[in-house]
Amino acid sequence: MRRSGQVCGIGIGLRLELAEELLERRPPEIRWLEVHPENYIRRGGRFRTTLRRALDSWPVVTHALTMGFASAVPFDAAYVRELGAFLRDVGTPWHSDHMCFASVDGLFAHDLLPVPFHEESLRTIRQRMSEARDALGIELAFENVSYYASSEASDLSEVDFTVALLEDPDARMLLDVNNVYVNSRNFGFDPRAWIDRIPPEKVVQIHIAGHHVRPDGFRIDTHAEDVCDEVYALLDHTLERVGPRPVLLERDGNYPTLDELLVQVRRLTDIYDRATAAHAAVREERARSAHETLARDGQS
Amino acid sequence: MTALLDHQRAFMHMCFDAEPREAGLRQLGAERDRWLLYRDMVRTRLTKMARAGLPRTASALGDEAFDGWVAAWLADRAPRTRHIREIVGELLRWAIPRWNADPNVPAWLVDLAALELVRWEVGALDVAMPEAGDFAFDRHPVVNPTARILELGHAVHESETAPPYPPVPTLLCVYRRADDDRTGVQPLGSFAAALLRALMPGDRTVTDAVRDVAERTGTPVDSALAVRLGSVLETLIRRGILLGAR
Repeated sequence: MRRSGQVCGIGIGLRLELAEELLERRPPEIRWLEVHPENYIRRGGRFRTTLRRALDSWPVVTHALTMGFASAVPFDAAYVRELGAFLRDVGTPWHSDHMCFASVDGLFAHDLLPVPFHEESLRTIRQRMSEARDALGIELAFENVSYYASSEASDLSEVDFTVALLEDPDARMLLDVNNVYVNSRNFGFDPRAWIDRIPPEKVVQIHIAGHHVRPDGFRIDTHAEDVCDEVYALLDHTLERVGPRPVLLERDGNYPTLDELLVQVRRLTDIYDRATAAHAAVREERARSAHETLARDGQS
Repeated sequence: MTALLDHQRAFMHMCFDAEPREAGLRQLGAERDRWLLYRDMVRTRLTKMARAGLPRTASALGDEAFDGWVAAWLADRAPRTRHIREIVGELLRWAIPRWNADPNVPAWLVDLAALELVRWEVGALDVAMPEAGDFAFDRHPVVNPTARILELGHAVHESETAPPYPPVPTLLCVYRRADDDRTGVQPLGSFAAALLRALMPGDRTVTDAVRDVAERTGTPVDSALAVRLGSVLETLIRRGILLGAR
């Protein structure tokens, strides 16, 4: 039976390395799961069985790796149809991919490759997201990526570029807090100021992950390390600002035991509970203040 | 060509070319080493996936040689699939004709790679297990739809034996078990392989399939065949290759 329900709180990615124990124990700390459609489309066997079992226990959200909303060439229509069927099958409430490209001329890099932050990239992403939204018939969100080199063709900063994309009324964002942090350290900007520029109502989901720090201090988004304290703190700041949004702990390598992962999930839950309560308190205070102002104005 | 398309093509060349071209790197930007980081990440990920699908082949070739073949494939062809698991097949379909023509690559290694690829692909086959009732000779057989018969020239399935593998005609059935999704490899004799081939379509009764195989192989229908048949069918059913009948 499909487990439907609201996607909220802390989720993790469904990975075969942890799946057997996860599906056996079904820990309540984990509220939802994320899957990469490319890992399941046209695939039977253990992956299919694992997904079916997961769908019995958790709501599932899809997050793709290979469409790349910044692709200069149109999407493969046949694949988009397959993807649409998969999204309907798992009942995802929205679907996301990245603000980057992953293929061109039929070649696939199997990585998230950045594009220059300029007008043509903006137009392309808007167009591709519109095409995909029409074809898939579902809310779409783009994710900000880590990038490791800056193109001289860029005439916008990353955050200006992102905010410009979000001006589209249909645009939604998967805000990757770790990617903001990694980029801030590699390129020297204030990650909190970056996040404060993002309209909170546009954020549908949050990613958090660990990253690798090279001996020269350069940071690589690997999803193979534990989340660092600075990124936990940035998540706290983000949730207090945007309010309750589902948070996905990404782990794609160097896997800890499930119990070790659950310790991190509990820490994230504590942050989630504190920050979203603070967010609610601020909203209540604002509402009360607005009500009192209205009442005073009515009396005068 | 648009500037964005130009950027993306230059990026792909930088990732996949045998050597990154300086002009292409300059086109991407000034931070040469940072762009080359992407080349390293892309190639490392793809090489790791190829190793995951072909662990014994990679080990037999040696790390440096295996990575060299992956690099040559990337430069000549590169991944055409969005499903990263499928690069294992893309790589091998490119490499096997070259290995067959290369006197430095032993013939058994091609067989080993072929076996690993079939195992890899059978594990991922997108097929549903059909319903099957109890086995009966007068009913139509139901064979596991993931079953594949491989004809090889070396006993490369004997993974506990260290290479090189001597030449010996080898018939194998590679299949995915319905109960736990694990792949299995079942050695077959020539009679068992012929019988399994005859059972696979499921378009005639087991009795008719056995009669056809006996005729084609010139096997007398006698008590010896009955014993042999019982043994083969028992193995196929126990392994989950023959699911039953309908």
